[in-house]
This record gives sequence, C-alpha cells and structure tokens, in this order.
Amino acid sequence: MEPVDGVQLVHDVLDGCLTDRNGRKIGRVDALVLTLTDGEPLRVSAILIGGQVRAERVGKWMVRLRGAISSVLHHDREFGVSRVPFSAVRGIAETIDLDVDGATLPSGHLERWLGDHVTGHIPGSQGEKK
Amino acid sequence: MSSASPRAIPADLLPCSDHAMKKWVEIALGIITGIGGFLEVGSIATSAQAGSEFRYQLTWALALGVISLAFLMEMTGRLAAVSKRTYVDLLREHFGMRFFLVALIAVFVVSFMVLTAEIDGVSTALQMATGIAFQWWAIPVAVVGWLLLWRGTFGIVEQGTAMLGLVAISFAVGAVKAHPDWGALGGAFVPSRPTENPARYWYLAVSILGASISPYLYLFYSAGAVEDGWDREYLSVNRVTAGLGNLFGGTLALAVIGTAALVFAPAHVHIDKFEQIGSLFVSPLGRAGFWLFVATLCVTCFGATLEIALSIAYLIAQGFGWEWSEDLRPGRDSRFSVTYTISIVVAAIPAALGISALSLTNMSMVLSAASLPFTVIPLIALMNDGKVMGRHCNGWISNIALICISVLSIVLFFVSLPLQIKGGG
Repeated sequence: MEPVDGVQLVHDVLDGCLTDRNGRKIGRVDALVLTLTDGEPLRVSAILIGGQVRAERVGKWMVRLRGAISSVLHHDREFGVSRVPFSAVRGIAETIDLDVDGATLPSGHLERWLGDHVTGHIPGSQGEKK
Repeated sequence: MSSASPRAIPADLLPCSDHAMKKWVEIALGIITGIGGFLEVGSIATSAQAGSEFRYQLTWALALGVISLAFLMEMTGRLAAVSKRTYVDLLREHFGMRFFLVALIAVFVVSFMVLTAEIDGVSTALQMATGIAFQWWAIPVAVVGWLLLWRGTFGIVEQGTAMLGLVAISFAVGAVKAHPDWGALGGAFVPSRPTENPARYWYLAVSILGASISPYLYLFYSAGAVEDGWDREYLSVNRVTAGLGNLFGGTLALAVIGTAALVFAPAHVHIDKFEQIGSLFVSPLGRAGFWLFVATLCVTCFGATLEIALSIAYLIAQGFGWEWSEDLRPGRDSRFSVTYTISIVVAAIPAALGISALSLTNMSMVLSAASLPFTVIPLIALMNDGKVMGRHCNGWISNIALICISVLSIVLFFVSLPLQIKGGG
C-alpha cells in the first residue's frame, strides 16, 4: 500500500468509491468492520459492500423493504454482500484502490447478470463507441 | 434546458497546437453548447406563458434563474475539475447514505418528470410538423434517443445536439424584428408586484425558476467535466463557459418572453397548449417563423431528453459507485446503460398513451424548483472544504451568491406546492 498520512475513516474512507486492480469501479465503502482482539489496538479489518449493508445504514424500514424484495427473489439476507479485507487497500485518493478482481465479488452480481442476460444480447454493446 | 461542458480537444486535431488557441476553441465550443442547450420545453413554455399573461414583468425571474444557474454550474464544474470527482460522488462521500438517498429520490423524481415533459415536447414538435398525432411519435423518439446513447459518445450527445440547437438563435432574430419596448424590458429586470392575479404571477415566477435551475443541469455539467477529464487548467474555461453560455442561452428565453408580450398579450391569448406557442414567431418572421420554432422545440427538447436520461443514470451510478461513462461500451457498464435505457423508455409511456398537457410540464418545473435545497445547500459545505477544494475554495462573492441561492431554494421549497394549487390552473 502506498504510504498515506492523516486518513480519516469517515471523511476519507466511508462511502468512498472503490476500484479494483483493473481500475474498474466496483461500488462504495458501505461499511467498515473494526476488530478488537485481546492485547491488540482496535484495527479496521474489512470493507463491506452491498445493498444489505446500505439498507442497515438507512434504517429499519429500508431493511424490511429489502428483506421483502429478497424473499420475492429467493435471495438470502446477505446475498450480494462483499467483505474485502482492509489489507487489500492499495491506495486512498479520489478513489480507494483495492487489490481484488471486482468481477468475482458477490456485490457485482447485478452487473454480471445484466451483462449476461440483457446488454450482452443487444447489438452494439461490445463494439467501439462511434 | 440543457447544459454541458466543452470537450478536451486533442492537440493533433487543431490547426494550431498553441495552448491558448486550444483554450479559445474549447471556450467557443462551451458557449455554443450553452446557447444551443439552454432552451427546452420548460423554459420555452414558461417564458411564453409569462410574456402572454404578464408581458415583460417576469423578466426578473428569468434573470435570477440564469444568474443562479451560472453560479451553480461554475461551482460544480470547479468542484469536478479540482477534486476529479463529480458532485454526486461528493454528495454521497461527504453526507453519507441517508442524506444521499433523500437527495437521490428528490432529484430522480423531478428529473424523470422533466424527461417525460421533454419527450412530450419533441413529440408535439413532430406533430406540429407532420400533422401526425404526438402519441405516435413518443416511442420512436425514445428509440432514436436510446440508439444515440447506446452507440454515441459523450461528445456526440453533448455537441451534436448543441450544434443543431443553434437554430434557437432565430428566436433572438424574431424578437428584435418584433420591435420590443427596450425600456420596459430593461425595467422588468427589477422585480415588481403584479397588478392582477398574484397567485398566477408567483406561480409562473416559480415555474421559470424551476425551468432555469433544474438540478439535472449542474449534475450533468459536473459529470461532463469528469467525462472530459477536466483538471485545474480548465478552471478559466469553466468560468467563461458557465457564465457566457448561460447568458446567451438566457437571452433566447428572454426573446420568448419579449415576443410573447408583443404577440400574445395584446390578443389576451392564454397559453394552455404547446401548439399555441407555434405561432409566436410568425408575426415577426413570417411562415419561416413557424418552422424555425418547430425545429427549435424539436431539437432542444431532444437534446434535453438525452441529457436528462444520462443524468439519471449518472446520478444512480455515481451514487452507488458503479462503473459509468457514456464513452464506454454499454457492455462494460451494464447497470449504467440499462438505467438510461429504462429511463428513456418508461418516460415515453405517458406521451405514447396520449397524456400531454402543458400543466404537467409546468408542474414538473415547479417540483424541480422545490427539489433544489437537496442539491444546493450541500454545496456550501463542499465549496468551503479545504480538503476537497484546496486553494480553490469559494471566495466571498461565490459564497454570498451560494447563500442567496440556498435561501431562494428554501423559499421555493415552501411556496411551490401552495402556488401549484392556487396558481397552476
């Protein structure tokens, strides 16, 4: 990780835009996981990305709404939530760069599904833009 | 109304690689974009209504809207150039998920309503040109718009429609040939109380402000600055573009007020259909005036349709951190491209079902005004945050202007609904 100084978790990291190792935007820091173990200082252990995490930040009504949608779609509660170790952070600037492949993360399921079932079938989706 | 940022011109495409020349070309392109892009269904309709019912008296509302928009565009453009992030990015990052969700819902709802009105505007223009009912045009308009978004780049969307929109300059020619009372027009820049029907007067004032300062305008401008890779070198381009582009664009809306005051007001024409506005420039420009009006309405509303559909996709994609760019192949940012696809198709449904009413356009402009606090007030914090803006924080002039616009947005938030009920009939 590039050396960074004076990073404020809420100001600079929470809700920051995440990019993967290919430079693609893969979501935002929807929550941070802090870990406290005996004899160790409190440390940021993981970044959470996903709709369920966002819903919990908004409020109970959003959690209930999301739960209702999930049950219709037969998804479990944690479906689409990515937990990325904070050690994967490679830089914090305009974006937060992660050393992960975004295409494999659970939170990228909608992008993959739309690519496979919708945009991939429409002519011009893979050609060069004119 | 639409707005846009000038494109970064590759040096090898310029006849002269001189840095200053490149800047001037970019500034000229930005101003042309502002001229061609300023007018759209809301500003044309509300300006024509204002001129026909209150002659020049509501000119001050247009001037206030133009000045406010110029300041907001300059600030969101500067924010993007300095931070390399869009205004929506920073709204989410600095105000958190809860506030962002409220702003997202407010901006999404009004932008979608305005998008519906723009598609209605293009369809009505085509009906005026062909005699074929507007509802038959709504879906074809949406499909052509979508094709341009799907296949075109940001530059094509932004400058293609802006260049065609230069036909709107005919409005200025028409207004001058109509010989307005320049003294009365100049005097109307100072607000005055209405002599009759105050509810309608203030309702139209709010409608004009809503049409002038739609949130999608500065959100699109900010996203465009990032799409075009602006940096600190573009700050002067941004200032001139935001200022002069809106000034010239606002002049064309003023031409509508001035001409409607001369053509419609003496005949006591109360405009409640788009088609009535078609005869606005027939008196000063003859039959050509009708066709120029139809072409302007069609092109400017179509340009706004593309920009609003993109703005909605920008808003959602940037807020949730999705991959987004109009220059990317749609398969590389599927969520973004599906969002503008759904937006433009669903927004065409009301017009396709035969629902077309000037009152709905007015309502979307009024609600647009009501939504302003959610995107104007946060700018005060962002434009004064040294960690974001460095040495490019707001100066005292920009801060006074922003505070005044914020107060205006709060006033509009509270008066919009009562005025819609009392003056919207």
